[in-house]
Amino acid sequence: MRFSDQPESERLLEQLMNLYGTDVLRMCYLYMKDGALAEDAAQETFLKAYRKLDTLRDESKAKAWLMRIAGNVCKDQLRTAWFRRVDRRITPETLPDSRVDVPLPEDSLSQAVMGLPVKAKEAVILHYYQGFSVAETAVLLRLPENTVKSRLMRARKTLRSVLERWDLDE
Amino acid sequence: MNKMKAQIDREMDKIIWKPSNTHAVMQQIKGEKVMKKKLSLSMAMIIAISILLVGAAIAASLGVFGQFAELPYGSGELENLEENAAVYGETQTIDPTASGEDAAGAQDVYTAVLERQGNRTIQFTLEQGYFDGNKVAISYTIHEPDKAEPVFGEGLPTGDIPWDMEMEGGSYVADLWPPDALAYLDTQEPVYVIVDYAVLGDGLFLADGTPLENATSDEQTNVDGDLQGYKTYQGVPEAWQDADSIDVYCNILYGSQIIYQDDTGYKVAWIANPSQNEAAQLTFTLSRNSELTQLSGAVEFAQYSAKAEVELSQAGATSTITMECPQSWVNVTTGEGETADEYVSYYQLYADDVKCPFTSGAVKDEDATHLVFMDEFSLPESYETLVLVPVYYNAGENWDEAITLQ
Repeated sequence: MRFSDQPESERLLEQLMNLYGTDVLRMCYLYMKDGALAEDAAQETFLKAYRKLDTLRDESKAKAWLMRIAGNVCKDQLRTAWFRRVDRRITPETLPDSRVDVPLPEDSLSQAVMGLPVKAKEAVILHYYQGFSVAETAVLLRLPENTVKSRLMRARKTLRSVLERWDLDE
Repeated sequence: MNKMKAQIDREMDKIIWKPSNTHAVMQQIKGEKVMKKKLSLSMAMIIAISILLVGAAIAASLGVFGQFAELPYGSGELENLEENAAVYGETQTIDPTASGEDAAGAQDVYTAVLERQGNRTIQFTLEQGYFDGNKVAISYTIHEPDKAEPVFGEGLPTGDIPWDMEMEGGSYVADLWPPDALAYLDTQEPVYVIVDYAVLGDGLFLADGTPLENATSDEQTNVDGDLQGYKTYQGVPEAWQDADSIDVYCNILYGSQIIYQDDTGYKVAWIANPSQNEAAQLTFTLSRNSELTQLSGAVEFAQYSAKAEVELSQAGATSTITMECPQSWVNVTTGEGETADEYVSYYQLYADDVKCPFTSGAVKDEDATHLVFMDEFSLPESYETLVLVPVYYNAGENWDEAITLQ
């Protein structure tokens, strides 16, 4: 997307979306377990990033910075969902389809990761999926390294069967 | 663990950031668009009960649409609705007294919560309404004259409570909850809090039960503690598009929320009296506020052709442009296959050479060679001609390919 008189901040945001949009979207999907909600969360992540661009001191760390925002956005949206409840008068037949349909097999690794408790899941996503070191993950989650390590260890235990199935349990 | 990343990436290869996502974000930061997305199938069944939102002070001189338009993320759509919606001020009262035993005599917490509903009076006021044959919008206030204070209790609440959510570890987090309630839950001792809620369900239905599609909404609690909000809908069936008025109904959902928390985690339940079917149905009539004028236009070029249909009302212009184009243009939207470097990204409406503010919109692929652009714009008070100008991804606006509407 290009706008006339596009200020520098918008160009930078566009660059960030081009570079990391898919990474952010997939991370949001792992949190939200729903394509449309993940898309909303990812867009919200970039909107928040735009408003906070002045806090991005080092562009080489932009990915980590975005992932931290994305994690917070997803958790905020999940909290909002906890304020909600089902209206049993509305049936699925009366509703429009989800805009993003992403069929994942029940036994997929993604499904297993999505099924983890939030605390374990965010450690797994950042370390194993996004490739941040344990130290970097600890900074992003504002936790001691040992706490991150123990969460990762517990997560691996939980994921053991599916990791073995995919021959990933190194 | 690169193998793990590779495996997840393989499984999620359909989840790709598309140019349409970039488009949506860029439009929003341009201040031209704030539109809540349609709910997904899973979440559309869920109704927000933001009972504890603490709103900012609100200017009394404006209607509810106008109050939301004044917020930092307010949209041109809301300004149009404030200007053109009719003021109703019709109040209906929900009096859930059917179960009415004395809560003090209840045997357990669950029963007491059910009986607590019998002491409530909920007033729903339709503040403003808009109907133009294409769009429906309402604003409202939900008021409880004798709203009960939250209940603070110790230990696991008694009774057969149907917990909706159980979380291991952590604390119940609600940024906008009263601090004293959160502080009470955070004592690490087994405690619970009960809070009443009453909210408007997302659905709005025609008298024959046909649901209208919720497009945008927002709500907040005003300084008096009343819940105020608005909802806009689209998808009025053709048979009703020429009607002078429509009868619609909505549901008010009410009950109590129980949060129990101890040092191992927390549980949340939303309790409503089954005899009340968890909701009250309210019916009202919306009169037509605006005539609908329909314009159309078409263009054909070597690379693509496009047909536009535009509906004009007091609330603005709604354009639907169907484009037959190379598959590589469609691929940009779907994120699949070979994508074009240059393509029509969106359309901009002009009224006599004046850019019409964009208020909301979307683009979708209809099939391998067709795109549909659906946008809404504000209109100036007077104008003679309307033109839709294609905006290319790299080159920007191209007036040589504009669609003149007649």
